[in-house]
Parts: sequence; C-alpha cells; structure tokens
Amino acid sequence: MNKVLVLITKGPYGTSLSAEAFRLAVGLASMEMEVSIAFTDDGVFNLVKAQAPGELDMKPMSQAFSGIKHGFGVSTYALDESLRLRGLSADDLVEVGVIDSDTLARMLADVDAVARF
Amino acid sequence: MAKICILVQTGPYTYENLDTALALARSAKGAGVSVALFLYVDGVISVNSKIDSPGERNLSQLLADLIREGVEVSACGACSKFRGITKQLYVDGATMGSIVDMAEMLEDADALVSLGF
Repeated sequence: MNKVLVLITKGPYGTSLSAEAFRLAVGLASMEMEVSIAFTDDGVFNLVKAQAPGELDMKPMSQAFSGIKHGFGVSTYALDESLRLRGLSADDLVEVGVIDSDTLARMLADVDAVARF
Repeated sequence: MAKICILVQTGPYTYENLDTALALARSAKGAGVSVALFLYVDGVISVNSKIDSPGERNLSQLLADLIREGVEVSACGACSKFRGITKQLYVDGATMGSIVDMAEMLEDADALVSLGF
C-alpha cells in the first residue's frame, strides 16, 4: 500500500491527536508514500489562521498544516459542510483545498488506507 | 500470503480497541493472514509488561502471547518516551519503532485497520 489519507476529525488543542496526525503524515510522506490529509468535523478548526496557543505552550497547528504541502508534498483538504456548520469560510483558513462530500467519498475510495484521528 | 496492518491509538482498558485488535489478529492468523500491529499514541501503554490487572484480563500478557504466535508488534518509540515506557518495560518480542516502521508495515500490507479515539 502506498496511498494514504489521514482523516482529522478533532480540533487542534485539548488532545494531542492533531499533532500526532501531523507527525504520522510527515513520517509517511518522508518514506515516499503518497499522503493527503482531509479535515472534517471539528478537524477544520486546525486550519483557522488566527490561532495563538502560546499560553498552552504549543505552536499553532494551522502553521504546521499550511507548510506541509510545500515541505513534504502532503495535500490538504477541508470539507465544505464542516466549515459551513461552524461558520467558517475559506477566508478564515490557511491555504487548503475545499471539497464537498462527494469528492471526499471518492478520495476515501481511491486510497489504499485511511488513518483516522 | 495476505497481510493486514492494525494501528491502535488508544490505551488499554479505557477503550476496547486493543481487545478488538487482539481478537482480529488471532482470527486473521487462524485464517492464514499475516498480521502486523503498530501501537501509536496511548496505544503504547499496552506494551508495558508491568501491567497488573487483578481479576481482569492482562492485556500486555495477551499481547505477548500474540507475539509468540508470530504477530509482529511494534510500538512508537517517541510515544513511549513521552509516557515513561522504556524498552526494558516492553513485553518480550515487541519492538520499539518509529513512523518508518509503521510505513514499512503499511507498504507490505494489503489492508489497514485503524482503531482510534
């Protein structure tokens, strides 16, 4: 298997899951696997530009995910329905592809493996 | 021979994921399917041989049994370090690995079963 989708469904802080998902995506991409990330549900909050988690002693997850395409060749996508339900638009986010649920379904069917966080 | 890779992200006892992974691994082995298990995030707690569970199933011992039956088990070294689980605490036969090992398990496998939060 060579094509992996990392599905992020949880927000950036409160658990380590987004950071662990990021670490897995980078690690797999470094092994020359074809990796993409889809953000759904509260996972879309990872992409919000205005994050200042300094008091949590953490770095902004949005910054990490915005650099993952150029740094590691990992494409990122946000589900439009999850954005709409949370009052978010593409303008609120770092650079990311916005997809609908049909596209997400095709992506899920197309990859060899899905790792959900 | 067909091969599956199982990814467990949750710790023992709080979640049923490790029980599911153990049962699935045993069934798969019985059906002639090769199994590789990667323990990630809190999943690494299960590899601690000092687990003591009076009156309950001992999940680290069940994990050790599975390794003796030929299942490849690797736990994330960084996740272990963050949780104070040293290699000396690992059950016999479990490897302290990294995302690189996870990638290799995935590359070799025909299917991924991801059990998370």
